[in-house]
Amino acid sequence: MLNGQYFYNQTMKKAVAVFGTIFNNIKIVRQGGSMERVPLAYGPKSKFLSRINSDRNEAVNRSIAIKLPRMAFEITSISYDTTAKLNRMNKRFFPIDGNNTKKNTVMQSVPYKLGIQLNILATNQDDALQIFEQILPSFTPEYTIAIKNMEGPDTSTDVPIVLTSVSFSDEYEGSFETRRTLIYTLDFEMRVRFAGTTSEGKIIRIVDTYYYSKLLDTDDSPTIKTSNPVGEENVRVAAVDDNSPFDADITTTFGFDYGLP
Amino acid sequence: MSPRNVYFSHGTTAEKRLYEDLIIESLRIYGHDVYYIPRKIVNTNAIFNEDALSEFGDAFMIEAYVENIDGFAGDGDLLSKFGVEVRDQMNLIISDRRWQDLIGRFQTDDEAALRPKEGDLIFFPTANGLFEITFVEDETPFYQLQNLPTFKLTCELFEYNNQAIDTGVDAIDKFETEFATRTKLTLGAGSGTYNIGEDVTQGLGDKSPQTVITAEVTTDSDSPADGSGYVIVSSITTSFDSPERSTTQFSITSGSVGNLVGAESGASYAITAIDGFTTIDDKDSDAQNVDFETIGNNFIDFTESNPFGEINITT
Repeated sequence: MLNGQYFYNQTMKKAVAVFGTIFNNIKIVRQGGSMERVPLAYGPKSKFLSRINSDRNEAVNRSIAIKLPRMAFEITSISYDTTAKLNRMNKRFFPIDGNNTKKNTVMQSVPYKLGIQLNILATNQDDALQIFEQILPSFTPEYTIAIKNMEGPDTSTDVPIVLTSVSFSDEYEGSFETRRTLIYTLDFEMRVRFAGTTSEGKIIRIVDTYYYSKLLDTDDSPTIKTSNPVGEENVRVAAVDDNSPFDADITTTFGFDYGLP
Repeated sequence: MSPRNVYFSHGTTAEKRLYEDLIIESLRIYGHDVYYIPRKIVNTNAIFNEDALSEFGDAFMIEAYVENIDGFAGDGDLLSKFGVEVRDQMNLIISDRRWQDLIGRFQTDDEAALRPKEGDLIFFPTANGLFEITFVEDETPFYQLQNLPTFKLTCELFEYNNQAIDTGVDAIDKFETEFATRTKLTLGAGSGTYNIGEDVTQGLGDKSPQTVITAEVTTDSDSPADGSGYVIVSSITTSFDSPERSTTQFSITSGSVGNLVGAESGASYAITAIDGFTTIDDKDSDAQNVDFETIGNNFIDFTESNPFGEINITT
């Protein structure tokens, strides 16, 4: 099915890594205290690895509940972005090193909206708000970041990350035995593009065109002329430099050569 | 005249003392030795009604009976989006009189309010757990002899928030050195060897009084006397304590910016580089800040600028 060719562009992995990189250096400061960077993680993870890794420091195993404040994000939705659809016949061409007669082709990528939720967990309102305020002003409501190689080799795709909603929950009421939970939630929409496989194709070096000129008579009625006034009804598009199209590559300048042999 | 039966005692002083003695003896037989760690609130946030900065500077050993016989209560170990959380809870019974004798008399609070406080910590050595007291029940058992001889402490594992913990008990102080946010300082010219756990300071600027940055040397430091090493410090504080918050940090030694000096060892070295970024993941198995930086930078076209800082700036 489909074209049967294996490919994996790691688009989602790139999106997660890029999203994480944006928020991985946020800091908080307490009055009289030190500046601290806020730990960040991608939420979903392998359970057994998490358990093993949490035990690796035997000296402090099971010793505290969790270190706060911290942030985590996860992908919450994926949906087709109909507003960003482009002509599906568009193609991108990329040269092949050492081969002047062939090129790589990638078909038009398809746009998707990736819903990503960022959560901030803190014990103190003030800690959470320091993180919160460092994020909000940069999203108006979008922040656009350029991602390399998302739509094929040597491409740079502008990916808007849109802050769509903000909410928080502060569960402080209830008995003293229950823990206060303070979480700020920021929902983002990342506009990514999924590109298909790269296919190899030959470069078109000669185009022969035979056509009729369709000219209008003086009374504007359409009439097919059987002969072109300037005798240019047959056109060859070929390499200009040496007129030897078989030496052409994708960098060659092409021109018109009227009158086919 | 009291309507109760006058031929029965409802708690004489001697009976109350006997009752308390029996409780204390039981606690000392069946209880565990735990450390009671009072919280000292350094700064409070008057708007949000929170402790902006707390520290823990004392630890008092006391016997406590663990009420949970089948293991810890609470949700146990669970995986959330924030990583592995351990939501263990337990109830401890301690004697009122013993608490007053061993701990209360060292507290500076109003005497009438002297009791274990919510927010104080309990270190439970048997399980190597640092617990926070969430509630103190002081009316159980309920006036059986017209008195309240015990406290029931509801505790749950502590959510560590970069507090300074300097009790003098190594098993407790390690929580700070293991979990506090770390900064790696690369050393240049100097002499001496820093001691693990000692305070190190650096003076900044010409102004009087000079701003002094203080931090604690963690166990992963390597500072040989030839100055080729580094120290990893935690719990950085500054003497420039302004309500607007100071962001003053360690600086590279130059001009009026002094050496890093050990308070106990007297070791003194110039600071040649500061890295507060790659140390985030050191003791936090769930943090991926450095992984995102490493992998994400392969994909990001940084001809655009990062809103939260420029690429590869890690100080």
